[in-house]
Amino acid sequence: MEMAIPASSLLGLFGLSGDKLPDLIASAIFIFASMAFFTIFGQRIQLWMILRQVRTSVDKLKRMRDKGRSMALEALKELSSGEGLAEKVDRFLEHFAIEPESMDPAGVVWKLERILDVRKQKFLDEVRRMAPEASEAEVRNLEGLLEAALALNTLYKLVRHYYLLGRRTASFYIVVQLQMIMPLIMKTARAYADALMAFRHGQPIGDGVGALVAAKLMHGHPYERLVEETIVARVELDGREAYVVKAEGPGAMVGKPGEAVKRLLEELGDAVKAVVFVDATMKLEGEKTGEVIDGVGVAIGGPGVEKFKVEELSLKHKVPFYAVLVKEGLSDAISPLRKELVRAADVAIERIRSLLAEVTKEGDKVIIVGVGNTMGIGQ
Amino acid sequence: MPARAVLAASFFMTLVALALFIVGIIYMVQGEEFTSTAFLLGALVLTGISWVVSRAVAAAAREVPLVRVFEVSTEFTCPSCGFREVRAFRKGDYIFKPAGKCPRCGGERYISSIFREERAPEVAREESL
Repeated sequence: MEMAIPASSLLGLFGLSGDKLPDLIASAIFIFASMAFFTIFGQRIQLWMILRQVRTSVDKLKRMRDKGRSMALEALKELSSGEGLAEKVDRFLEHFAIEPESMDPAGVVWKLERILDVRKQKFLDEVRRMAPEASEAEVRNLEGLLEAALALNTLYKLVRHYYLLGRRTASFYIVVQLQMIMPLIMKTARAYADALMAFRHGQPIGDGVGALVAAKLMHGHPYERLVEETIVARVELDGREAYVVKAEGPGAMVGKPGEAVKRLLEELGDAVKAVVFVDATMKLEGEKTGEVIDGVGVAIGGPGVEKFKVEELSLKHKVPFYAVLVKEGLSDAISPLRKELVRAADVAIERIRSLLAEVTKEGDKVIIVGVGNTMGIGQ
Repeated sequence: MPARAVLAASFFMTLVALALFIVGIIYMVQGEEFTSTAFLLGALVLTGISWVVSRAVAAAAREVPLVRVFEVSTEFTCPSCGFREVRAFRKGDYIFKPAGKCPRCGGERYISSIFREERAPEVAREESL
């Protein structure tokens, strides 16, 4: 004989009365429905939230890009009739350069140098056509301004591409990767946005601290153009014969420091007892802006062509290369020169003198190279 | 409405939400489920509004203009008498540009420096971990 157990007695085991059964069932359904909802749609909700967050940054990048474009346009209008300028600027902002093939890496540096030279010449010619009334220094500054606007355009388009790709494919992993690097991208974009105003007015930038050191050393001495955009002055420094090299200011130029050192070493031979490079370097978070450090090696930034030229010579001439570096953040490097960096230039000069006192004797020949953009810095 | 007033209103809403929460708990203890639920929901809504408002104010305060305009200064120096003068940067200025006669000794001056100063200098030189 079967015994039916009433539901009320089962509930009684848990201390619940029979009239609470509907509440219990409703609660259980609610809990299970919530679990099912968040299991199925949780990632989609997260995706939606991340996409919204990234969208805010993409909008900001777009506004930065538009601002860069309009600033470049305004600057060019001041020095031209303004006819068809908007189209020309838009075309400039879409410019690209294709890197040489490196499957067979031998000789790739020279191919890269050629491409960079052609690119620079093309940019300068475009600016000269857009602003025929501009002086040579203004042409260089405008080219820098357009380069900053171009960088903002490239950043915006790249981020927008991944944002739209992530949204279209609903790929959580594409969107999450984008979200993870967004703070770094925005920091870079902020630095380029800060650079716009400096290039617009031709103000010295943080990257020019090396050029400033060289300018301070050669000020008042006669100088001559050694290679394209690069000058040299012979200076007496604590009994040493110093050949000070920098890009020719005050236009936005970096010159060819590697080529200049190569030329000097070929000319002076083994009489050169030391080559000192002065440049800005990226500081790590938590480090002080304007801190001066020294070490060994070739301190020339950029795509590496100039650095390669000098390093090749080190085997032939056995001349030691020293580097004096000034620490600064990315934003400081391309925004107007901070007072701390101006002070750091004097500290760097003292560091060069003490370094030369340690590694060379009176009467020795040395080369001092101020690396960096010389915008707003004469000689 | 100024940010300070908005923040004060947000703080006031948080206090009211706290009071509603306490009253809600008292009603719950007394067994008045409906009244306590109403008070607790009210507290929740006010807390939410207060959070959204204060977050918006904080975000607005953090907002940096798209293109920052820095105050850049130009410094003139006379190498003969050491006389120095600083004025706001003007387009065309560059370091080591000849800058005419010195007002003190009549010597030839030049631009010795162009720099910007941060409005809020870094107080902590080494960021604490």
